[in-house]
This record gives sequence, structure tokens and C-alpha cells, in this order.
Amino acid sequence: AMETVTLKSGDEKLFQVPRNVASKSALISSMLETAPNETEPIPVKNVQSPVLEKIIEYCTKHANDDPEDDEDSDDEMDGPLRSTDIDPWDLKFIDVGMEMLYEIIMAANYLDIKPLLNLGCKTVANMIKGKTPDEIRSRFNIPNDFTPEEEEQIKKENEWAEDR
Amino acid sequence: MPTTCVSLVLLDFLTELPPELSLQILSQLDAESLTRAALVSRDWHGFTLDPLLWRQAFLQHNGWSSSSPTHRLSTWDDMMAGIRPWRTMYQQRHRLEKRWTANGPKTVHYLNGHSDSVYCLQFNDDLLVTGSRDRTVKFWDLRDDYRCTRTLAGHEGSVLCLKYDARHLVTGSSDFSVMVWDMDQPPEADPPPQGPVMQLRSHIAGVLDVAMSDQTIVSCSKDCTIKLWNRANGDLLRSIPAHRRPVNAIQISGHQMVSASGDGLVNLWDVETGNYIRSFEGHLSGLACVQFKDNRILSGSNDKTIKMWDPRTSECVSTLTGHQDLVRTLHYAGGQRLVSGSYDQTVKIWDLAANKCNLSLDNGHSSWVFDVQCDLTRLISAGQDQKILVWEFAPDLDDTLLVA
Repeated sequence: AMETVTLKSGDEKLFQVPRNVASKSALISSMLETAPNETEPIPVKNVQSPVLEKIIEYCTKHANDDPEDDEDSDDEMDGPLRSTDIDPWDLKFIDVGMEMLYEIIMAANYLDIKPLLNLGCKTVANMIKGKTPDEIRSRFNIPNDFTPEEEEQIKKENEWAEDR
Repeated sequence: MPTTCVSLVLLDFLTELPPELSLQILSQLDAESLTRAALVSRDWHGFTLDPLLWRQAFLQHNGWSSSSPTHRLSTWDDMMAGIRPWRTMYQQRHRLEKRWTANGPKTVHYLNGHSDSVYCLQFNDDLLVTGSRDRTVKFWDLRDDYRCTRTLAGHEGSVLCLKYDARHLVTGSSDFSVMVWDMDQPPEADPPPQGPVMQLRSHIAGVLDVAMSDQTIVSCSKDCTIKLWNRANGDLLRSIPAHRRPVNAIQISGHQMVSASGDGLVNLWDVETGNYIRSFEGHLSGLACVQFKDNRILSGSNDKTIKMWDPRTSECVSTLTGHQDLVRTLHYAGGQRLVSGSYDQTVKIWDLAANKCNLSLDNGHSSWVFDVQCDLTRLISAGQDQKILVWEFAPDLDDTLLVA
């Protein structure tokens, strides 16, 4: 039988998952290595059950990925050249509301799941890429807190980008 | 709505997330998106000033840094990244690149001194050396207002080609000889200018191009041969009957050398043994120039085209069209930039990745262009009109901030 572990979400719900799925999280993986009792549920206090469910969905899908690929895509400074190619399954998976996206990024960071964190960051970056400041403000519901003078000054600073 | 989610009135990711995650998001953006993001709010503006983002953006550009981009930063790099003004560097470099690809040079200087066609030139940050049909070689100080600091006389014919390094200047002439000059010679006439340290004679027609490595000097000639000489003592090591027509150009790279001839062929050779390796066939007419580019070879022809070859397979990888006459000179400038000079009186700047001409300098020369070279910030060309033109692309930029 497949070896399983039990995860306990912040709101005390239990999730039984294959060990290799749970081990996609570097945090849980290291906890498992040192766990005194393998049958005890592993507390994931910072993550609530709806988010943990999504995380498990992702880890199940990617359980058998080559860790080399993870290694490759976990670069903190991944850069614009590679950020456009998101796997179709991942694209559908991450097509969630803004709050859930935020929670997934926070959870992926906490659980140390590099490819998922990277996916989340890329998704936010893609919402910013190629957009005007106005479009970005309305997308993220950000008030424009510049004085007209400040705005003018920053526009001036950035003239080089338009310098033809 | 699950009650377990943190209630956020605003989902301003950059300010809500821990700063390192905000940076990770922004690090996915190109420079243009970053400059737009700076206009969103005060907080966002602050984020976009992070030097690490601009270091990232800078290093993402192929050819902007001499070394390959390091994705994972060491602690030392982190420190250095904080110290260097990456954002300013990005801005300056961006301006410069735009001039090379679209806007053109900022200023042009004309250097007067030769009294006839200028056939050849080479320069580095400090020194320009030119050779002319007036039989002289001139040194020009690029740090000091392009002053002519030295004139070498000795050849009894046109100076058709030259190459220099820290030790020697090697010149080839229509007087059939190659001369080797000491680069350390004191400038001006006190003590009186000395002649060459060596004169290499064996060719039976004009010497059309020269090249050198640590040990060897190579010359090619209208007599259809390539000759290899011992650089230390001037001994003729080998004479190769290389082509069926004049050998117009030659270049050395590592253990290999490449030649281009009026017979329409590019030939690849082993420098050590002088052994023939293979030919590159495809131009419709004679060749005037040839250049190594990393793992490629570039050639310019009387058929008005420039071709790029794969040295392992002999295959023609691409053909650049645009010149209206013989392509007389090529210089590969690193990255994807190639410059060419033609008998159509223009100098063209090519993007080898896009396989197209980015910029054509049409109004500089009033006759055939014989030689051209460029570095990061300038291009120098010379031709039959006796003009030496220095096209400056960054006279107003701080050149210490242009490279990583």
C-alpha cells in the first residue's frame, strides 16, 4: 500500500495524502525526516483547509515531477524571458480569485514549495505586465496616492524608456 | 466566501505580501513594465527602485554583460548589487542600445591627415592606427581629441592592411612586403622614428591582409598564397597555395584560421599545421572579407551579400542582403552586432539574431568604404575618400556605467 501521512490544517481539518505528495513541501519533507511518530498528524497551522486543499491538488498533480525541473524553475530571479510559458494545467489551477491567489502564494512560501510559489508570482506578474498604471490600479484596487508633482517627476525619471 | 481567508479590503499584492515575495513578482517583469509599475503608487514606486531588479533586467540582456548571467546571487553579489547603480546603468545602456539599433550616433568626427585613400584601421579604447595609399601609417590618440601622435613611413607602396597588439604592429603593403613595427616606440621625433623591427619578404604580389597569434604572423596576398611566419625571428614557416584567385582576407581564432578569396570561397585552415580543413561555397562572386563569430564564420562578397556559415558542417546558415555593391569589410562586435562597409558608400549595422539591418550610415562617406570597426560606444570607418570617420554613440553617457 502507498505510504500516507496526515496533515492538519489551521482550522483543524485532517487530510490524508501520499507521502510523496506531502513531500513536495520542503518544510513537511524535513518535518517527516525528523518526526518522532509517523502516525501523528502534521500540523500546518498557517494554512486553512480551503487553501490546503488547493495545495494538495497541486502537489498531487506534480508529485512525480523531476526535482531537477523544480530546481530549474525555482530561481528567485527567474526573469521575464521565461515567465510567459505556464503549463496549461497550472494555468487552469491558478485561475482563482485574488484572495485565494494571495493565500496560495503565502502558503507556498510557508510550506516551501518552490514551483508553486513561482507559479503564483508569475501569475501576479502577468497581471502587471504590459499594463498601464491605471489598468494596474484598477486590477489591484490601489488608490493613486501621488501628488501631480510627484507623478510628473516619476514620468520624467522614466522618459529614457520612451527615448526614441 | 470561506471565513478562513484573511479579510483584505485591498488586494494590493506588492504591499500585502512580504517584501521578498513582492520582489520575486517584480523580478518577472521587463524594464518597460517596471517603469510603468513605478507610476502606480508611492509604495510601488519604492519597490521598483530596488537595484536587484535592475541588475536582473540588465543581466537578462544578451551581450550586455561580458560574463553570463548568474541566476543565483551570492551574498557578495548581493552586496555588490546594492553598491552599483544598476537602475542608472540599465537606463544608460538602454539609451546606447537604442542608438545602435535605431537612433544612430550622437556625434561624428572627421580625422584629417592622410593624403590619399585610407585602406585599413584598428582601434582600442586609447589608440587608433590607420594605413593609407599615401604609404604611411598614422597613430591617433582617442583619449586626447583624436590627435595624430605618430606617422610611420617605410613601405614603398600603399599600406593595405594592418593589425596590432600590445607588442607589435604588423602592416602589409602593395610593395609585396610585410613589416613588423615595435609598439613601444616613443612617440614623436625625439629620438628620430625608427624603421620596422622586421620586414618579411616572400610574396610576389601585394599583401592584402595580415593576422597574428602569439607565435605566428600570417599574411595573404594577391599572389593567391597564405604565408605563415615565425613572429619571433621573421622566418618563413610555410607558404600555402591557398586559393585560385587573390586571397583578400584572413583571420585567426584559436587554432584555426579562415581565408576569403576572389575565387568565391571561404577556406578554413589549421594554424599550427597549415592543413586545409574545409571550404564554404555559396557566394555568387568573389569575396572581400571574412570574420569569425563565436561558432560561426561571416563573409562579405562582391555579390553584395553577407553570409553566415556553420564551420562544422559548411552549411550557409543565413544571408544578409541590403548592400547595393561589394561588401568590402566586416567587423563582428560581440553579442548579435555585425558592422559592414561597402563600395555602395554606406556602413551598415546588422542584428544577427533577427537577420536584418538595424541602421545604415549613409551620409558619411562619399566613395568606397574600405574598413570599419566598432566597440561598445563607437564605430570608426575609412575609405577611398581619404576620410576617417569616428561615429560616437555615447559621448554624453558615462562609460563606466555601461557594462556589468
